[in-house]
Amino acid sequence: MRHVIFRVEKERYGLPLSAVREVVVPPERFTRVPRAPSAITGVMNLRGRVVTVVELRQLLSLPEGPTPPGRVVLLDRGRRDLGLLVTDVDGIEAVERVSTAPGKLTPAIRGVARLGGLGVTVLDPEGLDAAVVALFTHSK
Amino acid sequence: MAKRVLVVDDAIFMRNMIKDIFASGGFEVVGEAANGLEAVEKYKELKPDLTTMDIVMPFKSGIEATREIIKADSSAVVIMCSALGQESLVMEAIEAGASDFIVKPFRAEDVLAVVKKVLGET
Amino acid sequence: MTMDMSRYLGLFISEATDHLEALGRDLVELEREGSSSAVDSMFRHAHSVKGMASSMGFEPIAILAHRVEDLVDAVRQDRGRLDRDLVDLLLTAADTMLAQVRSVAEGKPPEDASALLTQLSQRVTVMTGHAPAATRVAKVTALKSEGGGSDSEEPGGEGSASGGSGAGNSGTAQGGSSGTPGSSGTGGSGSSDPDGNPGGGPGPSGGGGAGGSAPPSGSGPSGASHASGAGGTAHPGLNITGPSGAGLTLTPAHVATPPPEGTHATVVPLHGRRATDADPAQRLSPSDLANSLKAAASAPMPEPLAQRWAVRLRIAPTCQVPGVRAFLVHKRLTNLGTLVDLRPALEELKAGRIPDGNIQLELETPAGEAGIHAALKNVAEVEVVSVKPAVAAPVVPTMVPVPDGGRAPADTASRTVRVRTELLDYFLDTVGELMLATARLREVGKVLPENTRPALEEGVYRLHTLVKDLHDKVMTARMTPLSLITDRLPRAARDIARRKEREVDLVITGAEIELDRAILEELADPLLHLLRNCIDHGLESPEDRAAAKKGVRGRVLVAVKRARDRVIIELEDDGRGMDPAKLKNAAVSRGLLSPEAAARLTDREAFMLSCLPGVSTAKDITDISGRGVGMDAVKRVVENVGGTLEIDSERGRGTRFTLRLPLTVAVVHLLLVEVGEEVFGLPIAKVVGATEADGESLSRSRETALLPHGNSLLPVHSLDTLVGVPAPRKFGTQPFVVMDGDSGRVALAVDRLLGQEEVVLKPLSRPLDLLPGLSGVTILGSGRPVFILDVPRLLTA
Repeated sequence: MRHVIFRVEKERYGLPLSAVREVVVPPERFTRVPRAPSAITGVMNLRGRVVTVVELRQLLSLPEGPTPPGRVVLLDRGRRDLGLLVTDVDGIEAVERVSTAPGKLTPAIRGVARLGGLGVTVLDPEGLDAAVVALFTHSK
Repeated sequence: MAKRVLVVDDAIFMRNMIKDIFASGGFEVVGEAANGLEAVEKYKELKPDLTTMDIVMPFKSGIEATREIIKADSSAVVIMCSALGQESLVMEAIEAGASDFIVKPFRAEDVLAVVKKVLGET
Repeated sequence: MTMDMSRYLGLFISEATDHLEALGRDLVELEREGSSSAVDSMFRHAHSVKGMASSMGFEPIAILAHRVEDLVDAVRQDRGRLDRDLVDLLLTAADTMLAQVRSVAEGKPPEDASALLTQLSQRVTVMTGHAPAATRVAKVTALKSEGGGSDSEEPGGEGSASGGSGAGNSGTAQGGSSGTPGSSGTGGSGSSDPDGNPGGGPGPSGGGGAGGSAPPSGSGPSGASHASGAGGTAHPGLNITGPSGAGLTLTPAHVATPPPEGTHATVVPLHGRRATDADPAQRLSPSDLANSLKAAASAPMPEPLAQRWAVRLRIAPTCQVPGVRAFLVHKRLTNLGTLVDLRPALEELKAGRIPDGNIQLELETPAGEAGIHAALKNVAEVEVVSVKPAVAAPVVPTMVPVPDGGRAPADTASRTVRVRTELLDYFLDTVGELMLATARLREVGKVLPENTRPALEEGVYRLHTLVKDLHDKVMTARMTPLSLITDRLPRAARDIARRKEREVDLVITGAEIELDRAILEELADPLLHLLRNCIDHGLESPEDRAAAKKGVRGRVLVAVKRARDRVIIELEDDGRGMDPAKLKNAAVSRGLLSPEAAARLTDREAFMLSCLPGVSTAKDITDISGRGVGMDAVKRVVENVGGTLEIDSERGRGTRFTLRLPLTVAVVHLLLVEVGEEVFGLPIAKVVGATEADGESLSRSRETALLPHGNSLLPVHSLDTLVGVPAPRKFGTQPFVVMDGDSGRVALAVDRLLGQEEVVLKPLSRPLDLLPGLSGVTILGSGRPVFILDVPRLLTA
């Protein structure tokens, strides 16, 4: 299946092409969201739609540090306008044979695959969605 | 010359049955496809006189495949294979450019009657 | 021609087995992970098995597969419907079909599974609101062992399949037309009881009689729904009165006529619009084209312009799906020209409601009579009764009422038309964009040199007024009274109460209050579910009520009220009330909540636990409230439309569900304020005033600063801390906004007042809607998104 491959720092991630609506350059500044969990970078105006942007690093509980705002990967999730802040987008590649990731598995991660000799963490769109909702519901 | 037919259905069972029906009616089945993606490719390759198209299929639905085939060849003759209860889907397929439809479970004479009518052979 | 199906048996067995095994895997995966691809693939598996089994004449398998398909389709519409019960049921069905396929593999006919079928059918009825449709099965015999008459099948097989859905009608007609009475007597696969009720089901061995269609005599829950089930699958074949075609009425002449230029007809159904005069030839097949060219050349009237033709058609009574057939005809004709009249109307045609299969229409086309014949020549099951030149009706100037001069038809004054809801949605979106664009223009005007500014500002002002007016009109067009959905409740209440042996009085007030139809449509299912919840779980049995010294008849009140820019719907019962402790226990025992967290919940919060999936205080899962949409779905829908759900309950006294809903997707007046680097909107409606003061010099009560305002002292809240946005520490005088809160007025300390703005409120999409204290978001003329704050909730949440 074809995946959009992108990076957070040096780590590579993939999302099924069908789950990605588009990739955009982030605005100079995001509008901050009152009382939002820290993983929420803010919202942006995308042609009249208000898109919530999440820092993937924090969503996946990766080591601390701000993500240089390179690209926003917009998910195609029906009514939800959700974007992931990532370092850069590498391209679209066919990813086959996803195996279960070692170690702690979050629903946002489907597994790992190999691509050109390198590892890619394959994300699960519905899991990501659930992880974002969980951020909001469990933070209190 | 026998008319050339492409049969699209995700079930081998159905494909075989439809192939036999066409064979009994003097048609030549020149190809088969098991999903919408394959259907569009096979169509472009084979340019059949007639295509039978299942609606519910993996990867790409029959409606989407029909739309693409008609876009590539506006004179394509696509016959939808439907079941009772799929009326709105068949209408969508007609909007997409399907020429006619047949209803499962198929009876050979019904299928051939529709097909011959569509091809102007009656 | 009879097909020998036995040669497909091997393929059927292997492919059906594959599909059924995959179905089982998908089910388990779906229950575990809830991925939507699993639902789609389940639907395909069930659908494939249905198709194969019905082709093979294995009725028991085909019907089971059909019911599974129905249920999976219902789950596809609303995932909330998939509960463990349903998964169990579907797994059982998959296993049963596998066993049936195995038995076929051993040369034995598949066994009936009537008990399972009944369960599945009931589930379909509960989930979809109507009885399942009949399953069409080919009358063939694939098994050699089934006995002698295997090659006697002929058209009778089909006749009886259609008869299966109609209660006692077409039997004789079908028998007569098939001309093979011998074959129908076996009834082997002719009719399938749409409900699969063992009580009334004719079953494969039922003595269906000549037509093979015994009307199902089932009683009980499915009894009432027969009518709809049969109606849904009825064909014109049910009413065969002979192909006389008598009784046709001629097309009346007072049909509205398109403007003389003939560019666009005014009465063309929206679907037909795509066909313009310019391209009829493009979509014709080469032979059609040749024919219509010929026809044009030899047309009786040598006019090159489009001419109007009255066409009468008949759909063959044997057609199984006349609606689709008619739609195909419609499509062919609109490719040819412009349809100016169509009876029955397109929606009726599509639904298959075509009395005696007769269709009449008027068509404007340059293709001529021969062209019309040519366009329909290749369509099966359609008979062209006549094509005649139509007498053009006198030309009516336009559809728009003429301001002065009495030539406009009398009925244009208050004419109503049906407009597709997508169109209304489109209007609204576009008006929203127009308002944004206007605001942007105004921004641009601010940087223009003084002397050029007034002209632009005047223009922008006019534009603003017009757009605002247009917005109001669009909103008005979208407003729909709640009665549209509450009218269904009394009947539903009666049915639920009867099944539960409860007595209930349902009182509905305020149903005339209007709400945006987008919101209204979403509410239909949640309201029904809440009503079920009240009657089924809320109300006690008459004996219990008597023991509790209550009236024997329970009472459910549905009260709709309008409160400023909200509509409030309350559903209230006077039943047993909810027990917060039980809800907490249920949530804890299901691992949804830690015991510590549960202990901290207030009663009101505990009531909301009933909205978590899988939590219910009902001891028995009844087939009324235990199924269908759950409370979690109710809450989700209400919140998705921008509303809130509250539950209040008192043990022994009753339960009240309160839905607070936005009236519409609204335009709001905001006071824009700045805090740190952020801008927020405060609804002007809640703003009492603004003032300046030195924050340091204010008197304090404990930690709270107090701002003198009028004769009172108001508690001061710093907006930066309320919203959690860092702001530099302030010195000296700063602005304060005085607002109405839930418990009195409050003063908000802000950094700067930016002024007023009128904006289109956008509802919050997931996940923003989960945050307390936000009532919406908007985009300013500068393109910057700005949140609109719900101050009372910010203060309490």
